Amino acid sequence: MLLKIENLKAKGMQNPISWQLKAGELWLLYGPSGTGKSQLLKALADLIDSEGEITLLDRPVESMPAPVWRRKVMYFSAETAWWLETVAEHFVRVPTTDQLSKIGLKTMILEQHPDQLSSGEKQRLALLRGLAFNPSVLLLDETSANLDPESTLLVEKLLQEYLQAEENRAAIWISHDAQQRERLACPTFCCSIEDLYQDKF
Amino acid sequence: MQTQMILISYWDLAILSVLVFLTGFLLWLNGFTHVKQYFWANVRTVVQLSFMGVWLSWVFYADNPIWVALVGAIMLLAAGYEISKRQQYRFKKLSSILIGLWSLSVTALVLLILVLTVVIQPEPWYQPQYAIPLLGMLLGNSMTAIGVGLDNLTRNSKQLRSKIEAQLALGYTAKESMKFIKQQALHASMIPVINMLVAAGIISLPGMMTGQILAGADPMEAVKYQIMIMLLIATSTATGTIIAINLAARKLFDERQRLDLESLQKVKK
Repeated sequence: MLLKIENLKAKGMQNPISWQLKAGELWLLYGPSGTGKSQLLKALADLIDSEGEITLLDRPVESMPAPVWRRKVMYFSAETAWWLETVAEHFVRVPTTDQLSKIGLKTMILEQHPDQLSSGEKQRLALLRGLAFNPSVLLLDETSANLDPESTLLVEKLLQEYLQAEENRAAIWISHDAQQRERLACPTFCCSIEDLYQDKF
Repeated sequence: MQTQMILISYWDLAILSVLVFLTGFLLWLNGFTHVKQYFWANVRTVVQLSFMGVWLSWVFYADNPIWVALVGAIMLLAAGYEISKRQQYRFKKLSSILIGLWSLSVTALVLLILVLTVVIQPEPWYQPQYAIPLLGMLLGNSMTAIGVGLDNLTRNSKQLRSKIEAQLALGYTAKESMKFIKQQALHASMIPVINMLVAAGIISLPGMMTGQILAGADPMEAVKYQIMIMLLIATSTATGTIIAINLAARKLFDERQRLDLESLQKVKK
């Protein structure tokens, strides 16, 4: 089992959740706003306080420093944030032209100030920024919410390739797009937050 | 060229205070909305300084280290309180005062003792005539700088929260994630000090030097004292803000390096 969750409860979540993710799985999570989906993902990345147990390949979250855990179980927020002057400075490894073109972006975007970019561009760049750390579990909070249909397909493809490229990778993706869920995961790997609360897995 | 200082009478001061009343009235005519505070601030200055005068005369006369220590402690506490009062966001659980007190004590106090025992060397080293005015100047300047730095740090942490959290999510440590905010806080607190140092002697005649010259001291001697004070102020504000900002930045995270802004509360004004 790659990621094992037992009786996890954080502020904003209605009930404790138990869940298991196997390697290679891409789960699509949906449900009304304000029901604790983002809180669940943040708790999994150890960004907020929570009760219960989380283990990655049988190693509990408490067994490693929080920054180490967060590079393995990485949260991608719906609103991206940038804190330096140029896009390139935010990367540990500057993405190649090839990597950028795969998600429909050009190299010159790297020299721009983040404020000059559209939210869709920022969302795609934030994805690359995180993937550069080779996380095992991706926690994607509405990662394609600001994208046009074409870019959405590119991002989906990128993520599916990423999950297949190495062993022991999995993802949870919050998406309100029913067609996207249909394309990627349903019915096997699709679940609503209510199902999780009622422990239907 | 030690000359006798010309003494000011209480009547002279009373006449000056009439001017304050008049300017208060002028301010009111010009639509200033805080005339009450203006008067109150002037009253406080007069009362506090008079009190200080009486109290210091007594301490100087008594020549007892316990009294010097007591005056020092009161000044330190007041400065710590002033720092926490100037914050828009205060830490719950007294921490703002403690951060202020701690960063003031390990800088202003340590520097004061160092300069008294190594540089000036009065007999005894705690002689109040030297110790108390020096402490006052160091505390006053450090207090302002630390207050500005802390306020900048906590306000930016609230406003730029998503930028800190994004870095945490990418596996950067709490320290790394706060780097850009700490830089801004240091900048905000040190720029006024740098400006003061740059202006000294050209645009402004610093207060202590002016006082000594008015009291009949040789200008060059007064200048040497002032230079010493300026260098001490530069050192104590820099170290004081560094300590305060680092302490406060750490307080914003829990033991798992999660940003915990619940520890801050907005001060109602």
